[in-house]
Amino acid sequence: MYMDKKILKSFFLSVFLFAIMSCDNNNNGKTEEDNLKNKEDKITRNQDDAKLFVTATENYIRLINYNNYLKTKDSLTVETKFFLQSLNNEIQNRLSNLKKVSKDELILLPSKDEVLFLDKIDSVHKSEKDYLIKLDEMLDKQLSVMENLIKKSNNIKMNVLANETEDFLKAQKENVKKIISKR
Amino acid sequence: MLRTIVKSERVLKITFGISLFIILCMGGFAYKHVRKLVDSFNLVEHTYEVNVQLEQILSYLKDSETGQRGYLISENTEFLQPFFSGRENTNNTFARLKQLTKNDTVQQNNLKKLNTLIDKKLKALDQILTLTNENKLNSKQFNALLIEDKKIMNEIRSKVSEMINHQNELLKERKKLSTESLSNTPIIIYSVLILMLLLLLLTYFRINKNLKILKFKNGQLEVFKESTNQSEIVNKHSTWTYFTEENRYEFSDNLYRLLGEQPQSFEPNLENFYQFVHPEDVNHVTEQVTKMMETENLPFLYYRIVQKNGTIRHFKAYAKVLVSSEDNTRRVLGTTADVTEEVQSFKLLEERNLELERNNKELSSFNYVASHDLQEPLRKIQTFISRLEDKEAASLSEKGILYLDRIKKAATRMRLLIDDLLQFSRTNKSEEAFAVTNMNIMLENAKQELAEMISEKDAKITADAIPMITVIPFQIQQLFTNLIGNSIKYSKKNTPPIITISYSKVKADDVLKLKKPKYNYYHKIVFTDNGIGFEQEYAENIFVLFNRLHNKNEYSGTGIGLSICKKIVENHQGYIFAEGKINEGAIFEVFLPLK
Repeated sequence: MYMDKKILKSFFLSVFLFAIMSCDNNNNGKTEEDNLKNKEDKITRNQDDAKLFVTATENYIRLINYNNYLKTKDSLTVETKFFLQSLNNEIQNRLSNLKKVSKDELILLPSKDEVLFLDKIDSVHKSEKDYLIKLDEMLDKQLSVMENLIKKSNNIKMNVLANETEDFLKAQKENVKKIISKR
Repeated sequence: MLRTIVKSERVLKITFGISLFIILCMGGFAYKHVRKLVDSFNLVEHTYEVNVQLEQILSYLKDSETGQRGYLISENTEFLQPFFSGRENTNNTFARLKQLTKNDTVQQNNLKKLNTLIDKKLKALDQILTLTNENKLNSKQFNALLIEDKKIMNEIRSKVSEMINHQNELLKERKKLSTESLSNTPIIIYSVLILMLLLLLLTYFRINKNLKILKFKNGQLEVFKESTNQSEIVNKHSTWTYFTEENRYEFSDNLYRLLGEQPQSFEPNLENFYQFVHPEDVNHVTEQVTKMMETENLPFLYYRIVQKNGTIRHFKAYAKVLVSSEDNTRRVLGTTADVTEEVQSFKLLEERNLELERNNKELSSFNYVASHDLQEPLRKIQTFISRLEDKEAASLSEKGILYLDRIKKAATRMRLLIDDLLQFSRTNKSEEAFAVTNMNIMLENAKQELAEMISEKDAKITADAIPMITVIPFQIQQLFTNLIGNSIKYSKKNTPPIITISYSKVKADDVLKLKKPKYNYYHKIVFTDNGIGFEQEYAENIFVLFNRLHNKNEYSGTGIGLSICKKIVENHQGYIFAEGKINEGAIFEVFLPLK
């Protein structure tokens, strides 16, 4: 059947104008459910980020405490103690960076670690290697938190921080492994 | 009719386009309004949610405080559970609030301040807990911390209250907006509905009106189609259409009938049609049809067809391309007529014409020979009458002399008749050469010829200047002589004739009495006299050969003069008319074509 081109043209023009008129700039073609889901997703992601930050902070505090604890042990060589001192300083820096970011992102971080396990460890005599293996495990734990953060977080600041920390932790793990291999 | 339909279609299209546009615009407008309403509801809901979250933060902090106090009193660590989970819960709430107030910079700043205060508060609680664990419950530091903690808590309350107030302000505005939107909604929906109803009605009336027109036109078309069918049958013609783009033919029913077949009894295509074309004409027809397909035009094409019963019919076809103004499709519209009767009549007419021409020639030569040969014995009669008068007149009795005089007069008249007849037969020969002629000289020659008569009757002739005209000169001179001579001859007794000759150029359409004029313009020469005139009813008769209005004893003449005039004018493809009134005079109008 012959369709009049003029009718088609006017129809398409009208539909085009209708689309322009009814276009919602904030909507971008999404439904109400999509928007709500999107909002909830963002909130959940922010909450997850906050949890990971809290865990990372706790891990840092434990690492610092553990390092401080190890420094008092006679079984550790002077070089290892130097290394631990330097590692502690680096961790302190990173913790303060973490705190800065958390302030911007409105995340409340713990100021101390509630887990009080350190006194119990000393009851059994342990070699330097044992302590360093424990340290390596703790670094592993923190590394996994950072990897999670890299994977899940959409926040640029957090991502940058996590990436940088990941590199740092990997490097420190290498150092620890080197020391362990020498022992 | 086509123009009405096209106009009506255009109006319908425009109405449809405008209606569609308005409906879509109104739909868009209504959609936007509903969206605005939903958004305003969402904003109100959003404000409530922010308030709830802020209250939640306070609640968590209070729980933490309560838990801590419980621990301080009982030293039971179970009381610390709300304190340990307080940070996580507050973080979760902050994450929600951060997202909820992302577009509100005031609340974002407030959130930052609140976050700092809560951080302080949680640190203070931590320190209090540490001091409790260190058994420093009554120390100054502990008391100072408690006071500091209370102060921070008050600040937090104040900040939360400030934020809730801000949200309440927003709530007020948003409620106002949503109420406005809500109150406008029925008006807008009704307006859209009414407008759509109006458009619907308008479109309905328009379509209804057009439908009526279409029905009426369809009826007319049916009548037209039927009358065309009838006309085709009566006039023995038919129509056919060639659709150039589809290379397809359509034949009307009567084309089948003209071919001696039942309507639509075979598929309308060239192959089937060529089966009827006379074998001698097939090549010619094929050539012309091929040309037509290329040029989309078919000039008059004559050919013969052979019906199945062996009858040969003569056909004439003509076609013209038609481009549709709607979709620019091209069609060749053709007409085919059965001209067998015409062809036969034409052949018969040709034969009759030839016969007539032959007869005319014979008659002319008979006229000429007869009148020429008659002169010779008449001349002898007149010679012997003359001798009788000269030599034997004395021996004749009185009666003999009278008889001789009568014989003499009869012979003279006979001579006159033969002369005029000879002249008339010469006039019949129209193959004389035309030449551009000075008409004034022709007039002067005529006057010279009639000089004796003019002088005798003391006639006065006045004439306009006549331009050069392409004529047969001697015939025109004869025409002038006859007309002027006629006016002098039929003049009143004792009244000198006055003849006026006037000239003018006239347009054929302006002179109604010129029947089927071949030329657009004519020279009009009018001869007016003051003679005895004639009854208008004889105006036609006076040009008939040998027709006379007066007794030959009263006015001399043969009745051939005006017939010669008519013949001369007709030889020039002109017209001559006479008007007259008894005792008032006569008017002769001569129309000669302006070539």
